[in-house]
Amino acid sequence: MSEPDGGPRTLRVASWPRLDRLLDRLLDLSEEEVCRELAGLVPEDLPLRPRLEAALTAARGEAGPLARPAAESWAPLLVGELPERPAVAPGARLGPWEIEGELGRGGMGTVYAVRRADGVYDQPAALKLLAANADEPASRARFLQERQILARLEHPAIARLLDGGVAPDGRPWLALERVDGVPITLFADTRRLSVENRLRLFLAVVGAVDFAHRNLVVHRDLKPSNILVSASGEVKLLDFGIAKLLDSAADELVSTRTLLGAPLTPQYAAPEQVTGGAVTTATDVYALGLVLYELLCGARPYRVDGGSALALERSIATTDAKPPSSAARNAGEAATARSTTPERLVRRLAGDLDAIVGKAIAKQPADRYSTADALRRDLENHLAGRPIVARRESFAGRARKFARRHRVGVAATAALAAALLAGLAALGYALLQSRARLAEAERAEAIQGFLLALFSEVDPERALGREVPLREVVDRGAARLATELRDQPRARAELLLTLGTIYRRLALYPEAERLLDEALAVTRGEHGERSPEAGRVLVALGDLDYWRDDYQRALDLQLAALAIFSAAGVDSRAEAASAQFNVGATLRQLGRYQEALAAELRALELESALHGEASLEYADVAAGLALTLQNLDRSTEAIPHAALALVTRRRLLPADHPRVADALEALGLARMAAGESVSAIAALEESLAIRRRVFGSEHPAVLEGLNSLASALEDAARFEEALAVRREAMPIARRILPPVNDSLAVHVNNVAGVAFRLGRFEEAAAGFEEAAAIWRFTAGEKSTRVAAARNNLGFALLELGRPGEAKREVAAALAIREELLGVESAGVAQSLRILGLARLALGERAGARADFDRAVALSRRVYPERHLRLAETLAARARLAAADGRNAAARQDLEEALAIRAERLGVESPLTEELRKEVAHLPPG
Amino acid sequence: MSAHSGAPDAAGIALPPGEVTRLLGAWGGGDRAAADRLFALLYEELRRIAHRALADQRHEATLQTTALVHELYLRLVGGFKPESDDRRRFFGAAAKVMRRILVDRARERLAEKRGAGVRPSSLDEASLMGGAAADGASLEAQAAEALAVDQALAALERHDPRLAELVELRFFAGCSVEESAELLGLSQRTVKRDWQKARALLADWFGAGA
Repeated sequence: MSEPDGGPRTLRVASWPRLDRLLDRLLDLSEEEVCRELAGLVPEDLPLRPRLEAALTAARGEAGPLARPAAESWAPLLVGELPERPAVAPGARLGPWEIEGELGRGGMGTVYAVRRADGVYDQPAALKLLAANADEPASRARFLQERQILARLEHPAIARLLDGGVAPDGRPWLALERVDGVPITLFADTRRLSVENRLRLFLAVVGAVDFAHRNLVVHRDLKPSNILVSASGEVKLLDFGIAKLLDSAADELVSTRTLLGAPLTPQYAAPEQVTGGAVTTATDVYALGLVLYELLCGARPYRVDGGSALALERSIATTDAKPPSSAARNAGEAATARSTTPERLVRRLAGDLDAIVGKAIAKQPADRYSTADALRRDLENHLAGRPIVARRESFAGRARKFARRHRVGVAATAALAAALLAGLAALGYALLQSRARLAEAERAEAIQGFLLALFSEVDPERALGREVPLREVVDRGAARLATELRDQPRARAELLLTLGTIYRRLALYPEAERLLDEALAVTRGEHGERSPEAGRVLVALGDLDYWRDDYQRALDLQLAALAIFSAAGVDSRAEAASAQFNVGATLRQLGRYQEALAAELRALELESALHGEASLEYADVAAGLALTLQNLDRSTEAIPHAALALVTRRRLLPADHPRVADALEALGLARMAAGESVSAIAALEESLAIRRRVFGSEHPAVLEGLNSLASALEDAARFEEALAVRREAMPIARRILPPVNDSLAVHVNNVAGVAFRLGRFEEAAAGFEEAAAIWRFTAGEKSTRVAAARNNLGFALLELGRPGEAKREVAAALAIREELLGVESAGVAQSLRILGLARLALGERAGARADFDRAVALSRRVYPERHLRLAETLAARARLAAADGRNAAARQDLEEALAIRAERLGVESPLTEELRKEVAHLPPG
Repeated sequence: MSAHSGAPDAAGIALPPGEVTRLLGAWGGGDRAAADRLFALLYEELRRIAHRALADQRHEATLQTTALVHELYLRLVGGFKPESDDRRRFFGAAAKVMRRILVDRARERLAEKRGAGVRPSSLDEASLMGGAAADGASLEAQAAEALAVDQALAALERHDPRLAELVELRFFAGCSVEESAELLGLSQRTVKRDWQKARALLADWFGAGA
C-alpha cells in the first residue's frame, strides 16, 4: 500500500489546498452552475478539472469505501481471529496448563490431568478439551463469554472453572478444579447409606444447583456422573453450564440437536429437551428428580432395554414413570444398599417421597417445583415431619382442570377464548406466585373467587345451552368490577389489568383504555409510581396505544416501563427484556429503523441470555428484527431471523396461533423483498388465512395481512389479483381505523399504487398526496414513509407529464432516504431511477445519465442478483443510451434486462416481450 | 449478573462506577495517562462488544457501527451524564479506537497471509458472514481496503484535521449528521458540507491509485 515519495498520491495531496478552495466554491452550486464554472476555470486550475469533476461526483454520490460505516463494511475483519497452527499433543501446553496425562474421554471431549506450568503457583487441575469447534469467531466469542460467567460461579459444592480458552486448532478447552470423588449413586450404595442420609447428601446437591440458578446458570446435563462425592463426603458438581457452553461454541451443522436444547445424555433428559422445548431451571429440577429417584430406589424411571434412543425419547416424553416405591418392590439389592429390607424401603418411599419425586419429574415444566429451592424446602419438610407441598393438590392443577372443563362453554369463538385463556393463564401464574407468599393469600383468594363467580355464569349448565360470546363474559366482569372488590384494591387492580388487556386483544380500545387507566391509578396508589406492578400496567397501556397506532405515545409508555424494570434489577429482567422488545417494535413502526435495530439487537441479547434461542421470547424478537432489517433494505439478512421465528413458534404454539401468522407474514415480506415471489405469496396467504380464522374479517391484523399479500401480488405483477385484495381491504380500513392514522395511510398509499399500475395516474397522484399528508402528521416530514409517498407521487406526476414537479418530489424523497436509510439502500436506488427519468423528461441528459449510472451500480449492490428492479433501471438507461446514439451500450443493458425478465417473469410475459422488441429495433453495432 | 441495566456488563471488564467519566474528565484536563488508559479500555471493550454482537446472531453478520459504539457508551459511561466536552472526547476516542482495531486487524491479516502462504481460501469467512459475504470482499480485500482508508485519512488529517475528525466520527463511530453536529458544536449544514468535501478529497486520493 505504501508508495514512494513523489508517487501520484503525494502529488495529488500537494494540490489539495487548491482543490479544497475550488470545492468550497462549487459544492453549493447546482449542476448547471457547476458546468458554467468549470468551463470558466482559470488556466492554472484547468489541469485539476478532471479530478474536480470526479471529486464532485463522489461527494454527491454515495459510493466508495465510506458508503457504509466501518463495522458494517468490515465486520468479518473486525471480529475475525487469526488462524493458528493446529497443534495439540500430549505434554503440550494450553494456556498456562501443561498436560500430564489423559483422565478420560466422553461425548463432550477428552479430559486431561494438567498442572499449571507458568510458575505462578503449582496447581493441579482437570482440563477438558471439548469436541466442538470454536474456530469461528462467533462461536469463540460466545464460548469465551459463557466461560466468564461460569468463572464467577463460586460455591463449595461446585467444581470451579479455573480457566478456559480456545486451542490452536479451534477446540475450546476448560481448566476445572480437579475433584477426586465417585458418582453420588455409587458413593451412597458403597457406603450403604440409609434413605435419610441419602436425602441429606442430596440436599447439598440441590443447594448447589439452587445457587447456580440464582446466578442464572442452568446445568442442563445433571446426572450422577456429574455429581461426585469425595471420600470425606463432600459433594462437588461438575460441568456446570458446560452443556450450554459447548452448545454456544458448537458448529451448527454437527450439533443441531444440542442447539435445540437436546440432551447430551438421553437417559437423564427432560421431556422438553427431547421435544426441543425451552431449557430452563425447570430442566435441572427434572434432572434432580431423576437423580433422587435413582438414589432412593436404585432404578431409573425410563429404561433403554435395548431399545433405540428414539424409543427412549418417546417414553421420556409420553409415558408416566412408576413411582419410586413400586420400582423398589422386589429390589433386594437396592434395599441392602440402603441398609433396609425391600418391604421397609417400599413403605419408606410410598407417600411423601413418591410425591416429591413425582412433582420434580412432572412432564410439564410448570407442574414441577418452580425452583430447586422449593424442592429443597419440601425435602426438608419431609425430613422434619411437616406436611409437604407436593401432596396437596396444587391450585394450579385445579385451575387448569377447571379451564379445560369449561372451555367448551366459552368456545363460541375459539380464538377469542384463546385470548381470554391466555389472560387467565397469566393471572393464574400471578396467582400461583402470590399463593407462595402467605401475606398475599387474601388477594389471591379474592381474585379466585371473582373468576369462579364470573365463570360459573358461563358454565354450560347455567347458560342453558346458549353459547356465551367472550365479549359478554368480559363485559360482565367489567361491570362487576365497577362495584365489587372495593375493599381489595390490589386484587381489583390486577383484574382491571387482565380484563383491560383482554379488551385490547378484542380490539375494543375505548373499553380497554377505561379499565387500564383505572388499573394504573389504583396500582400506583397501592404499590407506588415506580413499582414493577405499575410498570406492568404501563406495558398494557403501551400495547393499547401501539395497537391503535399511536406509536409516539406507546413509545413514551414503553420507555417509562423499561426504565422501571431496568431499575428493578434481577427480578424484573424478563420484563425489562420484553419492554426492550416493545421499544424496538414501536421505533420500527415510527420508521426509526436504525434505533429499532439497536433496540432489537439488545432485546435479542437479553432474551438469548434469559430464555435461550429456542424460546418463544427469542422468536418474538427475531421476528421483529426481521421486519426492521427488511425496512433497512437488508432483506437477505431478515429471512433467517423470520424463518427462525416461524420454526420456533410452529414448534411451541398451536397451528392457528396469531403469532404463527405473524412469523409467516414476516417471512413472506422478507422473501418478497428478496425477489422470491412465489414462496412469499404462499406464506402470506397462509398467514392471512390463519388471521381470518382467528380474528374474523374486521381486525387490524387481517387488514395488515391483506396489505402484505397485495404488495406481494403486485411484486409478482399479478395486478388484477392485487387490486381485488386492496379493494377488499380499503372499506375495512376506513371502518375500523381513525381518519388520521398510520395504517390508513398505508392503505391509501397502496391503493394509489395499484391505480398507478393500472395507468390511472390522476387517481394515483391524489392517493399518494393524501398518504403523504397523513404521514406528515403521524411520522413527520423527515420519515421514510413520507419519502415513500413523495417518491411515488413524483413517479405519478412524471406519468402525468409534469416532470418539473416530479423532479422536486423525487429529489426530496431521495434526500430523506439517503439520510435515514443510508446511501446504500434499495430505496435510494429506486429514487435515483425515477429522478433520472424526470431529468430525462426535462432534457437534462447528463444528469439523467449520472442518475441511471448510480442507480444501476447501486441496484447491483443492494438487490439480490438478477432482481427485477435492476432490469427496470437497465431498461431506462438503455433508452437514454439509444436516444444518444450509443447503441452498443444500449444493447448491452437491454440484453441484460431482457435476460432478467425472461428468467423472473417468463419468456411470454408482455414485459419481457416489450424488451425483446426494443432490442430488435436497435440499429446494429 | 447485573448485566443489562447500563452498568458495565458482568462479563465485561470490572470498572469502578464512573471510572470512564473520570478518565474523560482527566483527559480533558490534559492528563495523557488518563487518555491512554481510556483508549486501552475502549479497545478491549469494543472488540468484545463487536465479537458478542456478531456471536448473538448465529446466522448473520448484522454488525452495526452505531449500535456498537452506542453500546460501548452505555456500558462504559452508563447512567452518568458527562459534560458535553466529555461526550465529544468519548465518541472521538471510540472512533479512533475502532479505526485502530481495524487497522491492527488488517495488518495482522495481511502479515499472516504473506507469512503462512498456506491459508486456504476465505471459504470459512464466506459461510460465517452469510449476507455480508455476498458483498464480495474477502478478508484480505477488506484488510487492504481498511489500510487504504487509514492512509487516506492520515493524508486528510494533515490537510484539514477538522474534516478528518468528522470522517472518524461518521465512519468509525457511525454518528449521524445530527450527532456529529452536536458533538462538534457545528451546524448540521456545516457538517453536511464538510462531509461532502471530505469525501470529495478522499475520492481524489483513491482516484490516484486507480
